[in-house]
Amino acid sequence: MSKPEISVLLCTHNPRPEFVSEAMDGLRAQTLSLERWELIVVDNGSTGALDLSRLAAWQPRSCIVREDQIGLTHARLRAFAEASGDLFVLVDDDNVLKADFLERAIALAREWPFLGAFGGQSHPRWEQSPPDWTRRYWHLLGIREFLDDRWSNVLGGEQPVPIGAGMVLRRCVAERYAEVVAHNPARAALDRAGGKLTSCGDTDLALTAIDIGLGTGQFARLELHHLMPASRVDENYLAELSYGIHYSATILASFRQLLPPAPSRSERLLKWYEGRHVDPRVRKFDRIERAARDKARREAARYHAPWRNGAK
Amino acid sequence: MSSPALSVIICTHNPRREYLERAVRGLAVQTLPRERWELVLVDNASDPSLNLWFDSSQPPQPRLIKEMQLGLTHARLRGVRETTGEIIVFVDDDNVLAPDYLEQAEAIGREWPRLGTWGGQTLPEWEVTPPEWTQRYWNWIGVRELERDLWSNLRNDMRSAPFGAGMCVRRVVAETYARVLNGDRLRLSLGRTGTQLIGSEDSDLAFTACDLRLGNGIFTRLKLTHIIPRQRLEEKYLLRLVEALTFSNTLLMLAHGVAAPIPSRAQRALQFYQSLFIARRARSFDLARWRGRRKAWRLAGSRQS
Repeated sequence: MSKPEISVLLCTHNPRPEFVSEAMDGLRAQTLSLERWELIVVDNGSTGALDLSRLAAWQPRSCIVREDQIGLTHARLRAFAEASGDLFVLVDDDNVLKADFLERAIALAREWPFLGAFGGQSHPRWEQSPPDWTRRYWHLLGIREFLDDRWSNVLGGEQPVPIGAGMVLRRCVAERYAEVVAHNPARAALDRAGGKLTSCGDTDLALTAIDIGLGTGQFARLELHHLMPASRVDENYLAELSYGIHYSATILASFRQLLPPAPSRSERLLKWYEGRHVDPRVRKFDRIERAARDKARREAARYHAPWRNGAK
Repeated sequence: MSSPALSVIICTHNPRREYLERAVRGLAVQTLPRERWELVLVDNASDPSLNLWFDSSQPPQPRLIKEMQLGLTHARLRGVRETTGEIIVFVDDDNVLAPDYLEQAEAIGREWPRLGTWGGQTLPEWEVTPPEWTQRYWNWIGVRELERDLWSNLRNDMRSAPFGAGMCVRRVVAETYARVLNGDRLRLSLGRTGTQLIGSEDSDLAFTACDLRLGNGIFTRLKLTHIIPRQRLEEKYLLRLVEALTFSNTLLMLAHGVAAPIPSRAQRALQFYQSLFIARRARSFDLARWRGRRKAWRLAGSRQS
């Protein structure tokens, strides 16, 4: 059998059965014919008795593997090792791809040989309609809705960095990332592990494209639906998520020497002054964000301290 | 004869003779076969007129055109109207292209159909050794050295947009720009005019590329030498330049809706407070930038009301 043109990598950890089966339905409905792609499912230490191989039985080119080391990065590295295509698509267990996703992903990769990682729109499908105030924080949930395609290899600024859900990735980028993480275990800790909500492994992975001289992009025509359980718009959950994301984003920025200088005392004072009349909930979230960044900065400073590297 | 792939346009206004001659000679040694590109030299209201002393019978035999309406934008647009190549390369009268510049420019145009404008490195050749302190302002006089290629289609991140010196533009971008500009006095006025220093028409072309869903890029393999006369390194000149360019850039960004919001009184107070702690020279450059921005906000505000 010839090599698949694209490998779909689905990592899952104790999924909700109805979500994962909907995600599988989305894959089954792909317009790209079955023999042109393969499906790698990594069961990341799930404890339930879900029969994933039964769910994937319709795809003859599928393989279910188990990775017992918990953590999204470990699961993804395992998936990279199992995949045989030159192009990967990362799919979460609550992502339902639009039927033309894989076909478009292949076409885009051909059209844009100089992009190493790209993604598309991720529309929410709410289990329960979300309160209006949460809209401001939907980006934390990985919701991405936009009209214009964007592509770049200029780090920082407004760089379009694809999120994990539906990220299309070239093998060379995945391989470099695997290499870097193997030598720097702190990079693996950027990602979700079980209940922890840190999550910048996606960004780290996408930016690896730039490290090897390629770019990143976002295309409106690549679309998926993200299934959102009611618990995701709970205030406490969002607060915790915000903390985790801003914490790990700051750590990641320090790894990549992209960390902006810490705000000075007078800048903080100004922020405080300007925030006087802001809605209390927004202020609470701002405070959480600041606390996460500060903690990450302190840790990064310790991590990069000279005595760590054996110097005196 | 088939039409040339590339049109090289040199615009000049009262040039220094030896600079212009070097710029033209740099074109005579291009590796791209001569029949693949055309060359026009736009004399922008020079006094004395260029045809009185410039010998255009020598290779590369530029076509001499006279544009009496003063202003770099007018001169460039005239050049665009007079040529037919799919790719336009703007060369300043103090730019000496590397011998493979046109060849590389054409290759990039082929490899990157999604780019609307592209350029490369502008390496300085100083008339006098530049003082150490000027280094942080070299980008304002158009010095750019690159470690790697940069490209993007982001309108609010112009780090990958080429400078005017050696800028390559797809004809569709240049013609769209000409069409949009026709009737937009504000944008027409953004170009350099005579001795006036403002000049954001380069960024305006890059914005136009984004409007057409194309991108902008800069490439290490495109190299030219920018001859920099002594007065460009004087503090007074640099301060004027920084103010003028900040003014025109801010106006341009306001026109394209990507300008940073006008700071509040409290933010300005903070900026002032912070400026008390920096060195004198850095502060005067900060102030020059501040004046440029303020002028632009005022002008934009008066146009809106």
